[in-house]
Amino acid sequence: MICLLHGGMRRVSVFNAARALHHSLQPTHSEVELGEFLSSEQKILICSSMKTLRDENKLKVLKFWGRISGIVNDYYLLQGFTSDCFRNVKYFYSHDLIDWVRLPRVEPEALRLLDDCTSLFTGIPSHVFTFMSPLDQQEVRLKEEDRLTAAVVVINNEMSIIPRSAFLIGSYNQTMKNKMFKGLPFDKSADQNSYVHFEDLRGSKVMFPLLDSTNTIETDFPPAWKLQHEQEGQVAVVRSQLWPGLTFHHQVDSPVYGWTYFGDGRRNWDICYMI
Amino acid sequence: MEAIEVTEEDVREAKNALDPRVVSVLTKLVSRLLHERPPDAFDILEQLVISAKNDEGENQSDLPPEIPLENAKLMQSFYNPEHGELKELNAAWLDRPPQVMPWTSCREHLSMQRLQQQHQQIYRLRFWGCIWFKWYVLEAELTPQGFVSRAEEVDAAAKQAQALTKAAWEEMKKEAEETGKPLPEPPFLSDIPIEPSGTGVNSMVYLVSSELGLPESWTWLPDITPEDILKARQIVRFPEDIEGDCSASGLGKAVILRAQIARINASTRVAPQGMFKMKKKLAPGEEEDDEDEEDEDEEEDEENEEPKEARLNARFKLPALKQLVDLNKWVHITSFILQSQGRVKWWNPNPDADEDEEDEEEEEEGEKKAGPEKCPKPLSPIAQDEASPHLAQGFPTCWALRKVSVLGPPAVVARSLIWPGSITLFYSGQIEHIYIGWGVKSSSNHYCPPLVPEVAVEPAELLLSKDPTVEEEKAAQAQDDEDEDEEKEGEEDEDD
Repeated sequence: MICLLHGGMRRVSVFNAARALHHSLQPTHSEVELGEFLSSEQKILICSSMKTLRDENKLKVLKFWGRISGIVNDYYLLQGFTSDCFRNVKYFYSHDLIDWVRLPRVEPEALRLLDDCTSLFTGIPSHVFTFMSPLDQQEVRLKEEDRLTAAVVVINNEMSIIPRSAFLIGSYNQTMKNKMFKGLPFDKSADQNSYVHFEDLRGSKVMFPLLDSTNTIETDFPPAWKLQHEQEGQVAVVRSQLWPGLTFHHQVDSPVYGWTYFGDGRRNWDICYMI
Repeated sequence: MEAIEVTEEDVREAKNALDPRVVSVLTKLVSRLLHERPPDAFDILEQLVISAKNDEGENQSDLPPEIPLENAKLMQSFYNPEHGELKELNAAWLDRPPQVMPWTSCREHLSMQRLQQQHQQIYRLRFWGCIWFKWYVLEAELTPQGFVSRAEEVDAAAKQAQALTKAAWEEMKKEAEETGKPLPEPPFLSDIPIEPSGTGVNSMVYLVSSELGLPESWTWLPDITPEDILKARQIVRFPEDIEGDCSASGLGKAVILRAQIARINASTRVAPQGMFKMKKKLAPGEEEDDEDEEDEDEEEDEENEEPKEARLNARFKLPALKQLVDLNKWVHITSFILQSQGRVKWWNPNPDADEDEEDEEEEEEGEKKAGPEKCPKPLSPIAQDEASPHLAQGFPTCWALRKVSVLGPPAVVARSLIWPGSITLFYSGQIEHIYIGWGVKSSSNHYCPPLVPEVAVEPAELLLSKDPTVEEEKAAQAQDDEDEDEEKEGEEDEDD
């Protein structure tokens, strides 16, 4: 028996990345088999929070980034962009989807120590982790909030993917969504080469950097991406094994795509035994 | 620029002069711009040209993606008017609001219905979960006859396998004796018997399929032996596409899946306290006697060897939300798998000692070797589970409890931290458990092979010298003897 409240425990509603930089409030949904779910109540709270946050912080686009689960509490995360997709990206976290706190700037120290800290997130932002750092050969301390920021930034930078030609570089040297993107056809969506890492390619000498990018998920090392079709081949789902819980979905032949992270915020170091 | 007057003649001339392909692209481009009027046409101009050039691609993308033919036929076959019950099921589904009928749930239900119709020995089916987002797992409770016949099959197969291993081992020994090679390691033949179908670890039967399809697509997983569980415990991670044996452990894919399912079941089936009570195990279809409710004296029950299971307590009162979020108020409803034996029920390796009751008591008090392994009693609270401090710094719990809804009736989710993906939902008096994950435990100690030591530095100068010949050595020896004699004479002279 599948509980009514959650509309099927194996489904999730994933908020799509914004349609354009000039964003409308109604995020589009894509039903994807993710194993995690957001209840209707949670969706409503997120929607209303997104509106207030956008106005307060003067953001152009706000996206539901995902959820990092902790022992005592979970962190629900939103990602906000201003005019530039890559600079000044703001992150907000919340435990109850009502009160949102802005994540601080990422510390280089936290980035360095992120992979050495292998325990779970506790869910208390002021918690301090003490662990042995093999690089420094001594015990180091890391605040949970800093670790959270570092994890979010690293996942975003390493794992942000888009279908080929979904974005392009406009005439004013801005990275923008391609309105003419009609979606990948079925055969292309089954090819790992069609999913490109989303990075700042302005200044590249190539004519269409985001269209002809060679930084695809196929060339990634370690090759930790798993591509699958769901729903009778209508949705292409790409899952990462390096950061388990990261899922990218794309509705074939439509401009609907997006990715979220539902996991515990730790890199999977056993990846070499899994590929 | 001056305005140039263009006549039809000019246009025709231009069309003839230019490459016809260029003309067609330009025509398409302009017509598209005029029809669609994109707001940022200047930015996407190159894209428009490219798409106008690749005109064939556009036509193709208008068609829907190809659904494999088997899947299409399969879905149609479900809606077969011969199966009257299925028709009723469909009607029930239509009544539910649309957001409750997700794509796969419908297929899963249809698939389960067909499976149950085809196999008469299945008493009850439940969707257990999904491993690796690829293997859908169903949990089946068989009728007593079903379990008995299954147990016989398993027994026969195990005996055959053991006989084969023994025969192979005898052959290897003979070969080693004949050829004089060293004897290889003997195969591990465990004495610990497998728990028969319907009891302990094998109390349910599991089916696995990578697509929710016809009953034929479901693979029946084998019953699990204690040996397999002990081996599976050593596997920390297993790759997704395990075909055949999984390297060193020698376990097949089906066995690994079954072992992980068994471990997950034993560790993560929980419920709020009071919802289940340990009562005499009922056969499927048997009704509960009212008398059973009175016999709840625990001391008596321990000596009683009747199999027990956790059954729903009819007198269960819905607890308040605050209580539900407390770790102490949730209990395990399945028994743990013993650490040493890989079974649920302790198997005594020395049955002879049980004959005399007095001796048994002495043995249990004195010797700890033969005694049963201590494990938590059934219905023990989950707060007693302890995670390794590495994994959960400061909060060594294995469970995360979250209340899910604020508006509606109390709904609480218990998520396991040790087996990430195991979710138990308690919602207005009903409990539901599901597992969606990677089938492995959460770990914080990652094995890393030791680093190769640094390459040693070569000495700074490598002086090569010739090896002395025998004559040279003798000459040197003679020289040394002369020197010694001279020294001795010198010393004697000094003494004098």
